[in-house]
Amino acid sequence: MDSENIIMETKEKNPKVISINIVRGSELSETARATKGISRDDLVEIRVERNSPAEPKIMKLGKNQSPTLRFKEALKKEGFSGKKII
Amino acid sequence: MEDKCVFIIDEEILNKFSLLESQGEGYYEGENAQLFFEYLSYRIHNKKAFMIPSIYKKITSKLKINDGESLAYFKNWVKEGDIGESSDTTEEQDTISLFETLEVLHEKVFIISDKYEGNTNFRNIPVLTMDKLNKYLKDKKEFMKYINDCFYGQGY
Repeated sequence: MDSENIIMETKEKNPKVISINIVRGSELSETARATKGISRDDLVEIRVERNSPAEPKIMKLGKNQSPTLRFKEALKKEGFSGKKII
Repeated sequence: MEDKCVFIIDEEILNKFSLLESQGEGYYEGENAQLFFEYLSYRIHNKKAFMIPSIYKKITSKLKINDGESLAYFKNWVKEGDIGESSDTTEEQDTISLFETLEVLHEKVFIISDKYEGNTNFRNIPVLTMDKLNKYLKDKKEFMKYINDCFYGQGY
């Protein structure tokens, strides 16, 4: 495996999250709501990742997927859980 | 009906949120912090809290690791206050500058911090300590119903 392939593989395993936006379904276009089966009141996470297709990932947040629980999991995964950030 | 206030926060609320997992003394305040971030997500208007640049930069440089997921969540809820930067000013002065700037643009501005309680420079500024924040959020009946449904009830 050459170095270029190794780099590609590493990036695929560790996608860089560019942005996360948590919005109400009402903030999405009607087309996006209809395509993804999202109601106006649903909470939705829009995630953009480097090395992923240009289209952002739109995910309806259901039970036990509250934004703060997901943030808590991310902090835990990155070693910040249970300690002060600064 | 949702109020259109904005919030200025500092590192305390994020630190308290990250201590939530510890299950120790900080658990209650960690839950307060969690409730606050849920409230920002729930809102339609002003879904981001403001932070003075010096603290914002410290936090974002610390969270800029691995795949950047926690940084992306942080930026979903918090934005850097546009007050410029000066090495001559203190954190307290920057906080007051940010408050005065936002006060012109928004109908109500709250500072959330335990740092300034009893500080006479903040006499005429609405400061919510973590305890006051808890009461402020729990008084919002529709929001608390939403939280109960999400975490303990039928789900959303």
